[in-house]
This record gives sequence, C-alpha cells and structure tokens, in this order.
Amino acid sequence: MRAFLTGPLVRLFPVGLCVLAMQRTFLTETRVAGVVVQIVLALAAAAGAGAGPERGALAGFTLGLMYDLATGTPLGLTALVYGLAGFVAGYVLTLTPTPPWWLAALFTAIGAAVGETAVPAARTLIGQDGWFTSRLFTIVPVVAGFALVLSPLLVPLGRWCMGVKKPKWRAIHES
Amino acid sequence: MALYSMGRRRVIALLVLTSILLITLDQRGNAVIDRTRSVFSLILEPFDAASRAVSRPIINAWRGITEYDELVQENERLRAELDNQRGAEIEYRAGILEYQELLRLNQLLGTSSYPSQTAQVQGASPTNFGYTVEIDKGSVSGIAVGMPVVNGGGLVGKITQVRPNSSVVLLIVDPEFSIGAKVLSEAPVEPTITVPQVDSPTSGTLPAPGDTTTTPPTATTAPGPTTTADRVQGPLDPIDDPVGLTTTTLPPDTESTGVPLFTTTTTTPLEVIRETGSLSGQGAGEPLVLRFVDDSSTQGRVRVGSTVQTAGGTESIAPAGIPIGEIVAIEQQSGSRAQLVQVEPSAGDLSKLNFVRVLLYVPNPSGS
Repeated sequence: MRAFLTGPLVRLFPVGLCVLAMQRTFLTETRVAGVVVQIVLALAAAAGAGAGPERGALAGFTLGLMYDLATGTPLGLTALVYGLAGFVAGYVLTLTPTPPWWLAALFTAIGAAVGETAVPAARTLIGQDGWFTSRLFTIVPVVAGFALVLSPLLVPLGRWCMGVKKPKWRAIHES
Repeated sequence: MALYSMGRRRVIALLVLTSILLITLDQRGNAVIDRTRSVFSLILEPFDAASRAVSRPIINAWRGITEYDELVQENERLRAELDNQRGAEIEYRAGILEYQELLRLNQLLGTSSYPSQTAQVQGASPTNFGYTVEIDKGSVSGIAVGMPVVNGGGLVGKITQVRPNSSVVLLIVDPEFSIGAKVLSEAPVEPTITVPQVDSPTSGTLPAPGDTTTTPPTATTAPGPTTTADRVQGPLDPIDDPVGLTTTTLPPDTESTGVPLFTTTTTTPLEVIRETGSLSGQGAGEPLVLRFVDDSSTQGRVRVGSTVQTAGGTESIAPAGIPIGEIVAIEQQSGSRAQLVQVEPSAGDLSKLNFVRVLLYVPNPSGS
C-alpha cells in the first residue's frame, strides 16, 4: 500500500494535471514564433533523462494519455509519441549513470524534438494527413529549445515523479 | 546498460500495443472512452480555471508591452475600413431584407431561421498539429457534435466534442475539416448578338418584342471599321436603357431605311453560376482548398472574387447559405484537368476568436 502511495503514478498524476493546465491556458496563448511550446512533452522527455528509458517511456505514456484525454486527440496517439520521447531521452543514462546537467538538458531536447516530429508521423499513420509541412522546421526547434531551457527544472521534477534518486558516489578506501 | 535488454523490450512492446489498442478503440467509437474523457475534463476544470486566473494578468501585461504598436495600427486601419463599409452596409441591408422577404414568401429557411447559442472562446488547441478552440457552452445548452459554428464573418468550424459545459470546435483551417460548398459567381460578361427577325432588312418594319434569337458573337460580329463600340442613338433604338443594356447599332451597309441590320447587345447577366464541391483546410495562414464534384463543368466558369457558401443538403453539417469566403486564386494542377481553387475564409483571423455563435442545426438525413 505504501509502495503504491509513493509510487510514480500517484506523483505523476497531480503534477501532470498542473502541467497540463498550464499547457492548455498560459502556454497556448503565449506562443513563441507562432509555435505552442510543449511543457508536457518536455516533462516526459525530462523524466526519461532523469530516470532512464523504461521509466521515461512510462512517464511519457501516462502524460500522453492525460494529454489525449484533455485535448481530444485520438486516445493513445500522444501517449505513444510521448512514450517514445521519454525513451529516447532516457538513452543518456546508458552513456553515463550520472549525466551532468548540460548532457541531461541536451537529451531532453533531443527527446522533445523526436516526440514533436513523431506527432505528424503518427497522425499520418491513422489517416490524418496534411501535417508534414515546412512549418515543422519551425515547430521542432522551438519545442526542443524550450525543453532544453526548462530541463534544469524538469529533470529533477521528472526524477521525483518517477521515484528515482540521483545516485551519490562514495569513495571506498582500499584496506 | 544495454539499450535493448529483454526487460526494456517488454516495456516498449507493452506500451506500443496498449497505444495501438486504445487508438483503435477510440477511432471506432467507444462509450467508455467518451465517458473517461468527460470525467477527466471535469477533474481538469479547476486546474484550468486556476491556471487561467493566475496567467491572465501576466498574459495581458505581456501583450500590452509587445502588441501595443500593432494594436494602434490595426485600430486605425479598422476605422478606415469601417468608414468605407458604412455606405455599402445600407445597400446590403436593403438586400438582406428583400432576401428574407423572399424566403418568407417561398417558405424557405435562411440561416437566421435556426436557433443559436452564443459562446465565448476559452482557449485554443494546445498542440501544434490541430486547429481547435474550446468554447464555454456544452450539451447543457443544447449543443451537439456536428453543429456549425459561425461568427459575424461566416463559417468558423464545427463542433467535434461536447462536454456538459464546454465544447471543442474544429476550425475550418484544420486539414481534417471538410464541408460541402457552392460557388456563387456572376456569369462572365459576353456580348450577345441579337439579330432582328425581319423578312427583309430593308422592309422598314420593327421587330416584335421577344421575336429575336441569340447567336454566338463569333457568328455575326464583323470586325473592321464598321464595328463600333460607341453608342449610336439610332432612330429606332430604345430611348433609354433602364436595365443597363448597352446597344450598339452598326450602320447599315445599304441605304438608310430606318431599320438597323444588326443590333449588338452587350448585357451584364444576372445569372448566378453555382458549382458544388468539397472544401477543406490547409492550416493556419493558408487558404482553404476547394475541390469540385465535377471538374469539367467548372472550367472557365469559376473566377477569382467569387463567393463561396455552404452547400447545405440533408447530410451536410451546415444549412445552405453560410458564407465561407472568397476565391483568391485558381490554379491548374499539372497533369490533371482539376483546378485548385483557393478560398480566403471570411471569418477573419481565427486565432483571435472571442465570441462565436453555434447554430443549433441538426442535419436531417431522411430529408423529410
């Protein structure tokens, strides 16, 4: 019971609601170069960069499901895409178990870029054509840039949501 | 740490399969998913309200700083536009009254005949790949999926999701949007040659009214110095031209008998060409695209500046006659006879919608 109460989904759900509300109101109205920056996607990628590929995929899937439920996009579509973003960003932990902040930020941005590019691809797969336009060249860098800038805040938040503590290395004296 | 360990593969496969299953269920329509959406929107509502309350002053302040100059310029431009529109408005108002009178007389329904609900736009789509807005009226106000949404300029979109106190409107610029449309265009001005049916061109009799035939201009127009575009008041010409007909009389090539041999009549026809097609969006800032049902019949008939309206019909989401926009370009597609007709929406800038009207119109597939 305790494990459930402190589990990742219990933390992720309220955090996701707050971030989703911010996405639907504040960020939708304050566009950057005409692009809606994606904080939910950034959080999914940051969770991946902070907690690893599986947890990142799980966080992205959960946040994506919430996004689908809130915005009316086909249920499971954003979940799939955000899961991919979290998984890709989590690849950083396969390079080093304790990535420096700038490397985590870079992978958060890469994850967000992959996720945002995958949205029109996934839509095309379910028959919603017309989203692969030159505008994508503006959208993806802006969304990735936003994720990069916010990653110092979002990576620890994502890590906390997924119940992962930053590993601390201790030197052991050889006797 | 290997990237593709067994455990990782299982997680990825499970998530992908779950996503595909959910997408399939949702695309086929599932009551449980619809219910879940409604419940989730209720849970999210207080969070949205709080976020809106907190962010509104910040957004207003930011816009005040960044958009002040733009707003001043826009205000000046709109004032000038308003002055220009005032004169035309009186004329159009008279036309609308006559139109409504005619609809009443013929027991037809105009767009103003349908009940409607005015709603305020709450927010736009949070995604970069969708053009929707959320409005503050829902099923409690009688709104249902598929109802058309308009503003003062014309068609804005259609309702795609309904919750008790809010609805989602798919805007006409979204690539997923599609609606039957008709083009209203005046017939092109072509000179028609009216040949009086007289027994003898020199007999001196006046042709009876209506006793004329119309022939193509190439059949009788004689190029050369004898053809004149100037109005020549002949002895038997009508004294005045009350309907705007321009009559040109060619001088007779024989001796003057008082009867013109040929009468070239150029008219501005009042006939309205109606072409029906399907209209779909291309994204924000892009014109709408109109594809005709029958491309062969539209060749040369549809022109830039023609008006596009909803076509109506028993299966259309909107009643006939709602303005959609104006044709701004017609391009011939390479390797095809089909024309690419671009339409500028008359509803204006859809990213700045504030109030809209939902027509409580439900299509009647039975046609009864």
